[in-house]
Amino acid sequence: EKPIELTFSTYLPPAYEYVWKPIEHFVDTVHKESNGRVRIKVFHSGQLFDGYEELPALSRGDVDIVNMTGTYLSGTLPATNIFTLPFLFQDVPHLQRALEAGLLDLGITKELATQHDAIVLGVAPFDPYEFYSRRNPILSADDFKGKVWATTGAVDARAIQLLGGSPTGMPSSELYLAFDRGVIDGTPRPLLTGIGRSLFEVTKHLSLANFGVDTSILSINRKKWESLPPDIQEILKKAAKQRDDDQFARVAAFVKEAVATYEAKGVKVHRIEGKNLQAMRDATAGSITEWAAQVPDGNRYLEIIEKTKNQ
Amino acid sequence: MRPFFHRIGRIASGVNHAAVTVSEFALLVLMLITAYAVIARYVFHSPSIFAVEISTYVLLLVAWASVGWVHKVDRHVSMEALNLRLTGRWKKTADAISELTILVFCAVLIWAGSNVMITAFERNYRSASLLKFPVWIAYSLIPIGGILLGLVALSRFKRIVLPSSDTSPKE
Amino acid sequence: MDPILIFSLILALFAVLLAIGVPIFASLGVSSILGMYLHGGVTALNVIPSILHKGLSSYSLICIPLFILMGEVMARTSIGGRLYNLFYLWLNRLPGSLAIASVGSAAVFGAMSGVSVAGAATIGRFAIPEMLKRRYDPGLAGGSVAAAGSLALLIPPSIGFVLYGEMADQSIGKLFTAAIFPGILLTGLMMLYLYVTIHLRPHLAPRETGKVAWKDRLRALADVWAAILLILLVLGTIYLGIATPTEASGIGALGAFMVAAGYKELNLATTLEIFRSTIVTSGMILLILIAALLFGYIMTRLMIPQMLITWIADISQPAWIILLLVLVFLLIVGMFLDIVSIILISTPILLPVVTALGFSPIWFGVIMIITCEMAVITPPVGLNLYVIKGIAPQISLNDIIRGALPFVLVEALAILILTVFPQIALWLPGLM
Ligand code: NA
Ligand code: NA
Repeated sequence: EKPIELTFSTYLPPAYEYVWKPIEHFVDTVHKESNGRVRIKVFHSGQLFDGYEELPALSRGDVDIVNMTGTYLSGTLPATNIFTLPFLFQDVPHLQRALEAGLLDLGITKELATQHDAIVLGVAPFDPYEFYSRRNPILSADDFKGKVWATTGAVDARAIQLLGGSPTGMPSSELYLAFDRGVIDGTPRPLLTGIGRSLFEVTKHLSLANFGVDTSILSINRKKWESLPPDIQEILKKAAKQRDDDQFARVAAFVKEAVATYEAKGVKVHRIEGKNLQAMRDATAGSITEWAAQVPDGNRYLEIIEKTKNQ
Repeated sequence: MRPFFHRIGRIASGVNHAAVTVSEFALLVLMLITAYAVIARYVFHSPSIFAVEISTYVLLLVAWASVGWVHKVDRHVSMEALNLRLTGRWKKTADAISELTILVFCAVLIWAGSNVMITAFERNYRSASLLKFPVWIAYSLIPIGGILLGLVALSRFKRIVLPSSDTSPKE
Repeated sequence: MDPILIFSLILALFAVLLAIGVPIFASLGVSSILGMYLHGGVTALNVIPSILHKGLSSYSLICIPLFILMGEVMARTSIGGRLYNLFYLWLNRLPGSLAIASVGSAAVFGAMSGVSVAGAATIGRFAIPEMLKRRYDPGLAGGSVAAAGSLALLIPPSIGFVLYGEMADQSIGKLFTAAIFPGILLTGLMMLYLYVTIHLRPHLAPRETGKVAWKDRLRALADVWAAILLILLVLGTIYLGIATPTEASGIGALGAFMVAAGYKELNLATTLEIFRSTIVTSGMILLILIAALLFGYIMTRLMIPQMLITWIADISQPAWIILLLVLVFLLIVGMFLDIVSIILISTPILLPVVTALGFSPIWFGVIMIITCEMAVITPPVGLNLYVIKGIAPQISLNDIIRGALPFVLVEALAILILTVFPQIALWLPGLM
């Protein structure tokens, strides 16, 4: 019998270990558990498609499996903006609890399957968005004012606006030079991006506030999925679950390591808590209401997040 | 069909003249947006949220609106090693194959480009930014570029195989 | 169908189309289309718009038409001519002075931009006509600018290092710093090559034999203030933190128009010509650039470069043989692939091999960028060669290739020197 060959495309490079290693394990597990009946060929670093092209490529069937970043879908599926709504998740475990409580089942999973032929196999986290700043530390809501912020999407830009900062859209490949030349004052990004893009060389301060927690959504093309025998589907599902758990564990370890790395590189690390964090939440609460009004069942998403909070 | 094929030279020329003007205007806009982005940020401390994203769309316009014209003025680069040595009927055959190859490329651009554009439209793909720009508009430039380039290739092909029938004015 | 067979068919079709004289973009495009069709059927062609769209919607590419616009303004007005008049009068004793000065200009441009195509197009647009005007050999003029344009990749800022830094998990700051002396070294070697060649074959670059009066020299110096102002404007916006190198291209283009207006050389007709001409060059370059991405996509999809690298990574041979194989691999892959694909595909597999041999990843970054500089001037996919053909249509592509190929050897010499004396690259970042 000829082995089933699946093509996996991700824009993330192997150097981003906590995302890459779980993918490697996923591929190996599927290979082993299926006794070699399934082989997954992985193309990393956007060799085939960049992050924004992954969903269209998957739905057309150009590739079989992708690992989409939640916010990259947000233009098409506004519900996926939930992950980067400002200060909504307390931390990564909070995201995990919300996912287990069915956060994606309110519409995201269904819409991906029916509108985009994308079957969700699993969801894993990135480490939270934190604030990098070039010169002055971000300690309170006032510190955002008058600064130029490089933002990624609609939601973080809106939140920065509400905090009194000036957002400017910028791909992460431009960040290093933009900081180095003083073109921007700050950016909210995961620690992973900061390490990958050497931001510790061009910023002095890092403020931890769990601004948002993005996700990587492992998905397979629907037609391909339906063509697979049930036992193979089961193997893929199990391996995907393992990948999710693996990545959740790795992210927790990574954050500790990364903070130590930043400190070792001479970046001052601050934690925003208590009153200051609440002030930031209050200032940006408007963007959450705006989002909830746009998305069908928006308030039910927020309910799940509220319910799964750590008291 | 006949009158279309007959007037293909003039159509290709007219349409591409309009397109290259659009492309030039887009270049001007690109220069101004980029300079404006710097000034808005550095002088007025209120940077544009959209400059980067809009610039990339304008660049698409610069590129796709110009490809036909570039061919019309014969400035798409090719290797000359063998071609320069060909004469007479051989040269004509080579030139005809060349235009046909371009037509194949254009056919794929038009066909696949429309498919992808239609999917993006039906599924309402949008950019993940405050602009929420409809992706199908950006994709539509690909089949348009294919048409612009294809028209020129078709008119040049016609001129190679039916040199006498050329009624279009001297270009 | 077997990937290697598909790949052979792609190459065969590509070679035939090139030989017939089919434009490069269509040769690349249609042979890639054949490959995609054989690999995945008709529906596989739906991937093409995606690749073209992804390739063009990159923010850092906007500097290509904008810097070309700046070069066009300099060429159509007296800005470029004044600069070359200065070089001509002040360096009249130096054989090949204008070619050498062009390499120097390209190096200065390299400090403004990280995009190699922009380097070749901007400098070439005014440098080549000035050299041809003074009866320089067309191949020498075109080839040297094609090669020197790629210095923009090595001399910081460079998008190549930003990409490598992310792929290799290396400090971008260290990579930039590491590239400074190698950048100077390579610039010097290119100049030295031109000096020696023209010294031996003076007819390639005729020079002023009469005595040049100091009065004329000083007048030429006074004449270039606006050109200097323009260079300072672009460098200044970058290094004073006013703009990113990408944005600086917009400032440069606008600045060039202002300088030309200041010289009272700008009217409507000239302006329209400048725009038309920039669009023709940009459209040509951008189309080849994305068609090359289709070629890169199908090669990657067929896993051709991956197979080759994995083979190199697995053999056990003395260090120098492996390093040589790695370099030969990069040279061959560089003939066919765009630089982004080269870095994306080969870094993750080659880096562990090279570091296992005891080389530093920072050093290897510098080496890889130099091999990318080779890639842009080696046919059949050598973007800078086509750029030069696009901006100087009167020079034959064969002449440009002939003029550029010796620079591949110059770059190989730079790699050799850096391999023997890695401190050239590593000393400065070691101080950080
Ligand atoms: Na550079
Ligand atoms: Na090449």
